[in-house]
Amino acid sequence: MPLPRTIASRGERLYIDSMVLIYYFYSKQRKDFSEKAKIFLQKIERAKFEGVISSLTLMEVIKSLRELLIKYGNIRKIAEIEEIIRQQISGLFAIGNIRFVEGRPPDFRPVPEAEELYFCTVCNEALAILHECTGKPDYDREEDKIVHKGLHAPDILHIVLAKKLQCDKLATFEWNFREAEKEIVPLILQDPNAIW
Amino acid sequence: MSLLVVRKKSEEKLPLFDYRRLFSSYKLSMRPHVFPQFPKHEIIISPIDYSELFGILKVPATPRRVGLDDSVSRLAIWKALFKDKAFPMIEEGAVEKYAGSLDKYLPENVPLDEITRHAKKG
Repeated sequence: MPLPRTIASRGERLYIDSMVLIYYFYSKQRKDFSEKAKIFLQKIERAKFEGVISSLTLMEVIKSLRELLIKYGNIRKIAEIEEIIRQQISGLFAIGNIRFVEGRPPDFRPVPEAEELYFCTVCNEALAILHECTGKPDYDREEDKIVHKGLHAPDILHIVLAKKLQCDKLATFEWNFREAEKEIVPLILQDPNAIW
Repeated sequence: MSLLVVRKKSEEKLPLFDYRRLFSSYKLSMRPHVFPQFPKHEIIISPIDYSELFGILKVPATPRRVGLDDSVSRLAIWKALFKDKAFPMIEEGAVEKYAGSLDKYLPENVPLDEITRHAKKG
């Protein structure tokens, strides 16, 4: 068996990707992933790690939940959908040792006039990472054609936010994050060689 | 006990035992170690967990940094999303309680990959 590729040690600060939360909420597809997501969040709850959820992650979670409930849950009433979403997000807020942040680093104190520019500084750094992480052409079984396989624009914003929030690793189920591992080490929960 | 990283070679669960006594012969290493008592498990102890287990402080730990203070942002995010709805408190055992909380609204085998890909693409 190969040596572990990634080890997350006690006390590390881990940025949580939306996929981890979606698999935690819904366990009727990949039970193995859902179990890993649950165990991972329990380790945060028991203070082995400090978890970080950004507003960008929450936006992705909420969009995913809306799409899931309409497309597969056949729920049509918006008020009902939003109430279910509120219940799910409440569950996240009830977990100890998870920090909810907009993405502003603790040491960044801009003058009031410049506060609105913060988003631009994140985006500019993300652009530089996007330039480095080009992805590659790859065969997609579902679409039966060659597609671009690589990080999505929001993924790169997650990487920048995780760095600025001084996270040690970014917890995810997405292999694509490996391409940016020199920016932040991905803790890929489905990776058998990741220890956490 | 969450100190130890255990990579299972089978579904058999490790029994509760005196970890400290068992690992007295353990040499700090990043290599998986199989103890004769538990041949179906490969066990790794990270340097930080090792130092914690044996009280050795000279092993460098993850540098302690100032904790993230989310007391303001936590409330701001909640209010942005749900305005005046009751702000949730931290609950003991919340992870267990809310795991799979979406299951009752959805059928089996919903393709989560596709949904989250859409969410990321906007």
